[in-house]
Amino acid sequence: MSTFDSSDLVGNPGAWLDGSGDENEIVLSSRVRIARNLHGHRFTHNCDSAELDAILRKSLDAARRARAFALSRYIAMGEISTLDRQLLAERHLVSKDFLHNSASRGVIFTPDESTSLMINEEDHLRIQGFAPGFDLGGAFRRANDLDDQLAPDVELAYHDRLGFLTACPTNLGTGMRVSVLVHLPGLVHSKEIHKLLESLRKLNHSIRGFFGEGSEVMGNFFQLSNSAALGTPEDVIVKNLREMVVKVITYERRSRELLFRKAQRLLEDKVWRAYGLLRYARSVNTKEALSLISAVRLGVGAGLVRDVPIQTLNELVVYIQPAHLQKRRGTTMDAQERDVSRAECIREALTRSGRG
Amino acid sequence: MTTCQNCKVRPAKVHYTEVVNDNMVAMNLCLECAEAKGIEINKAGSYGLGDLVAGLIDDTVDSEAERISKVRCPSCGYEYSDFKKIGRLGCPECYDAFEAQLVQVLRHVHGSTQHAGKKSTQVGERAAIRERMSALRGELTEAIRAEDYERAASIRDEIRGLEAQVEDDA
Repeated sequence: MSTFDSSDLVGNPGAWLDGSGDENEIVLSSRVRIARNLHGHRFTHNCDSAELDAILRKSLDAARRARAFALSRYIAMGEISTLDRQLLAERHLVSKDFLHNSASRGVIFTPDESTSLMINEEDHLRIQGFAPGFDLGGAFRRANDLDDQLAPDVELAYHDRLGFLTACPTNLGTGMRVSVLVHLPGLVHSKEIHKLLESLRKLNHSIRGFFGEGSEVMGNFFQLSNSAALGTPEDVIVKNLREMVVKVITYERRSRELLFRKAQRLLEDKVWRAYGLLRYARSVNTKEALSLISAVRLGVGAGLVRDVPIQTLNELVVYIQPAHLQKRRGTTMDAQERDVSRAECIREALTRSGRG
Repeated sequence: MTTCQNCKVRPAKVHYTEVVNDNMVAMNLCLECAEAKGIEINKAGSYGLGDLVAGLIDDTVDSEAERISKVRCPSCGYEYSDFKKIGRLGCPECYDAFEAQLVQVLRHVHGSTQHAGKKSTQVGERAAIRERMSALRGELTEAIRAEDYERAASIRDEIRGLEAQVEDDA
């Protein structure tokens, strides 16, 4: 088997972030994650390397029989470069945890990256289904189908009363986390986001920044998800989040309208300044880039900017990250070099879309 | 880099949001001041989920807490105090071993202690069949060695039957 080189992936953003899909000016992508563990084994963090290998063998055996993975191959984290690992993490095919812990860990995903399976993450099996735009049903179908295909070939840790057993009790029961990546500049600018945050929490859903550490939010991108996994059937979890997202979309639209009504000139200026910077800057860091992309996205949504498709901006969210920039150049770069390369990458993308 | 808003000297490493009188207040603290405020930090510089989850059961009376923390999972040897430390259980059996202690955590996190949804009836069926087949193959070798051909033939038929089942499903 040839060594994996993530260069093949660099040129496309992954089917789930292609900018298509419903409500795509607010919802970038939908994701469903299902956690499963093998019966008769300790949880990953509590295993020695022999047990991790045994879990890996059994899991891979099942994965190779799964119809969904007919055209897929397994990528062992220990056998690829740090940069390749980082690139997979930037595409959400593996978690950040895999960057540091790589022995007996790996991932298998479909060529379009819409279905994936991490082995020996926090749980033995982490199934993920993705869909572009607001399509929780599509993401759920993918993850659930893979779960169905794996189930006959592995004996899972299951409890009659508690459901599927997971390393962390927060995932217990269905093992399912349903989430959407949303862009909420309207709610952030109108300062309504905090109220939303509080009410979502009360309704057992959580919202957090998608980029940035801790509570620092970059580019007004948020991830909205269910927080309870036990006691509610899968289809209801999906339905509850869907209804929540519909409301959030309505609030976001209303905030944007209000903002444009109250401060049209100010906002137009903000949008076009951001557009100008993206188009001509020679060096830009991730935080600034995301904030500029956010402003232009707002402009596209409002019909101000017409020559940049949403798809280009969604792709950029992936492409401007460090590993993507370095794989694209085929060389490692320090932070300053990356800022220059990032500006170049953005200019090229905008020029291409402007012509097209 | 942001400076810690408490000591105004060291660089801020811990970022979080506090809700004070319905207002969101962004906090940026250095490790030392965060620790002084009683905020537990894991190595990545953010809160471990474990602290949040395990922190929920800290209200118990001291002596009782002491006793509870020593409860051990018979399967993997994990103590309840290990769970409190890292927020993860040791193995699937831990859920039975720490059942009484976990009820509060589950209520708080999920608002429920009873699973609803997808069940695991079909789970592992093929894996079990393959295991049975491998055991039968051992018996088959044994029967042939003992020159018990009648028994060998019946074992062979059983293996073929199981093979067909596994193939049908796949």
